[in-house]
Amino acid sequence: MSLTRNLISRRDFLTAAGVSFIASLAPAQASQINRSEALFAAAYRDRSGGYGFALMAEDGRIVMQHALPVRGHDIVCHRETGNAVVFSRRPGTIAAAFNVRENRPPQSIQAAPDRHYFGHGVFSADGRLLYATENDFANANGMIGVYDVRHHFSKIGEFPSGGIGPHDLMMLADGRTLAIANGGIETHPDFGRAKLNLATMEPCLCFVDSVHGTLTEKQALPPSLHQLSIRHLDCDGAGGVYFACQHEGSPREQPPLFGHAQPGKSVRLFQTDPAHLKTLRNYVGSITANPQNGTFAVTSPRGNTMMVLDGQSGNIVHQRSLANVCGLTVNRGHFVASTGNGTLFDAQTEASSTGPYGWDNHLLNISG
Amino acid sequence: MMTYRRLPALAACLVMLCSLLPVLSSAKAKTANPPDVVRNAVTQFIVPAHQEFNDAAAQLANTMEGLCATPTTRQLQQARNDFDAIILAWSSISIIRIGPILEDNRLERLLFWPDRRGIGLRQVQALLVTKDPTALEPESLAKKSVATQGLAALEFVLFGTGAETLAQETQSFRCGYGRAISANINRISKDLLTEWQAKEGFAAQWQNPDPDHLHFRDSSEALSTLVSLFANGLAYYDTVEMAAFFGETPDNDRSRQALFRRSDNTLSLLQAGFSGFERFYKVSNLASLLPEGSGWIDDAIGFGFHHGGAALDRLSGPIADILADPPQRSKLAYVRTVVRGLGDNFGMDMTGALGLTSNFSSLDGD
Repeated sequence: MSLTRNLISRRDFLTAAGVSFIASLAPAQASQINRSEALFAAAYRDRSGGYGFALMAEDGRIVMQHALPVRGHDIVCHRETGNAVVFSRRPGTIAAAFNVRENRPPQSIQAAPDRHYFGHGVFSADGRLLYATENDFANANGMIGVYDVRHHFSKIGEFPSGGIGPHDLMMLADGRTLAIANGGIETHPDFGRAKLNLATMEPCLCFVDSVHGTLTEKQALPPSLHQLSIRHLDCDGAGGVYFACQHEGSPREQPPLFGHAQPGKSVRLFQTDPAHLKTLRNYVGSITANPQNGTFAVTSPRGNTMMVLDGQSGNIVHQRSLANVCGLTVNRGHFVASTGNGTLFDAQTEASSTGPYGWDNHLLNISG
Repeated sequence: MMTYRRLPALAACLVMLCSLLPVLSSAKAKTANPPDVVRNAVTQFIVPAHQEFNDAAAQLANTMEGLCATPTTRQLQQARNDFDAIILAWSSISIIRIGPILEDNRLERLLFWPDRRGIGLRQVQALLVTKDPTALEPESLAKKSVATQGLAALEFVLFGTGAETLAQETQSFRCGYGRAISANINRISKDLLTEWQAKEGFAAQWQNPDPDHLHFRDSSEALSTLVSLFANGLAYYDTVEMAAFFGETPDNDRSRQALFRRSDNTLSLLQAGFSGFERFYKVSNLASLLPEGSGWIDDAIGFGFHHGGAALDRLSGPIADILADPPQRSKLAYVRTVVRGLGDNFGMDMTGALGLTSNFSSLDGD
């Protein structure tokens, strides 16, 4: 079943993009695409403080780029259609839609006046709808906005996310159930990025029927972990999700920061020994699963740490230091990471390249 | 002849020029190392600021005891004066949003704000109506909602509707509640001071980073945290404290959302907070770490502090009156411009010059 964050094979990409896309590129860029085995997408900040998003080759060279008026966050892409959307980070009110097979200017998507985005979204399995995590800030309710892709991404509906502060969301393998990470943190655009309810926050992970917008299951962490904000998700390839957290409580505490959840099963937190856990600085910025080998990876830009873990036990398979690392994706069965300092790092070959842009928190492989 | 109204725009241009023209500044060489600078920050700003806050809290708690025992107009005025003093002291504590204040919800217990939905006000008013006896003792108050036990709650007690009764009724519930709040604040402020002075824990690790430490593994992490206090603190000052009441246009202003507007402390908090950043910057001697060719950053920061502070000093009156007065409102707009420029000076220019992790994915998070 094809889902967002699906991979588009390089052959598919080139076939679908065809002559028009290649011809629209500068010769050096076209040459780069032909040589590259993979293409990645991420939001960036340039050295003068400008924002945008870019497609880059494995060696980090930029293949396509567009400026954004505000800071971007995550990018999602649909395999068959090539449609992709980059979201502004919270409390941004715009997203930009583009097609990875066409080198055309992106189309702007505007949040409703009483909503803002949280930086993440997901396509429906058939690619016709886009779901975005949004904030009904007047009422402090998390919402999922529904957009019609074929009608210029017009908003056609919304439903509750099941909690406060929804951040990341995933479409499960059934192609119908949305997994939503409700971080539990109340924010309001009148107060920028200030967190308004840290003392009373209640994060939860919700499973919602995307067809009817109904909550089918709500999973919460133990009350003692109510300040452990569930923020990011990735599908495990078997009907569940791995989730990653950011702790808003005492820096002296070292709660578990990642786990696994599946409809009908109890939420499970993976225990990590304190010596390794402390390197994450109570903050995981990104999580990506590699179902091919049963692992998942997490990154902490605050701890300058990347960890690869066993998907069953949660045991650490590999750990390394990498300055300001956050973006994660899978390429040909192994993890690739990006950093806020502009580095693209291949965890298997250990090849790295550093370009002029600082990469935002998330990285997407749009090739295969 | 240049009109007065054009001055803010001109000054804003100068801020930009100062940022863009490194040739204007003299080159500086490194004269300190990161641990020195962090130690300066702790010993010369953070600990004194917490001492001052604790002193102000103790004074306020003492005055509240007297007010409840012997309510008079004069004693109420003294309590209000002490409240003004603790707000000034709070302006420096508010900058240091790391370490001990993040333990046990101390930050929220000291100040539950922003509170856009008025949760705190409703809870405080409910306590005053129901005369909940558990709100009269600091121990039991500390276990109640954070919104009922800090400075915002005390402001309503001392300045909100019905506050005049404090000068009339001996051992009233309202006064007892205010006394418990002030004792609670005093206790938290003492704990904060103790932890910042401790030879172990967060403050000690920050000044002596080590790979085995929980909080700081190396000098770079320690220094990043210091610089982030400026970058993130100035962003908070702009996007939360000022944005709470300052709209994109005058029609969108929200003076009732301003922090401490009941006690008319909004402006003094802004003034003290801004000068607090400047003092913090100077005593930490961060500029001494700038490498050769980066001295312009220090010049730009100095320019911003000087002109932003001067603009704030020229303001006067309650925040609602300032917003309603176009020349004064214009100065506030200018201050926001300066604050944003300073935020970039720290978050981008200084982090880059010091070779720290840029303020992009690591320092502000999502």
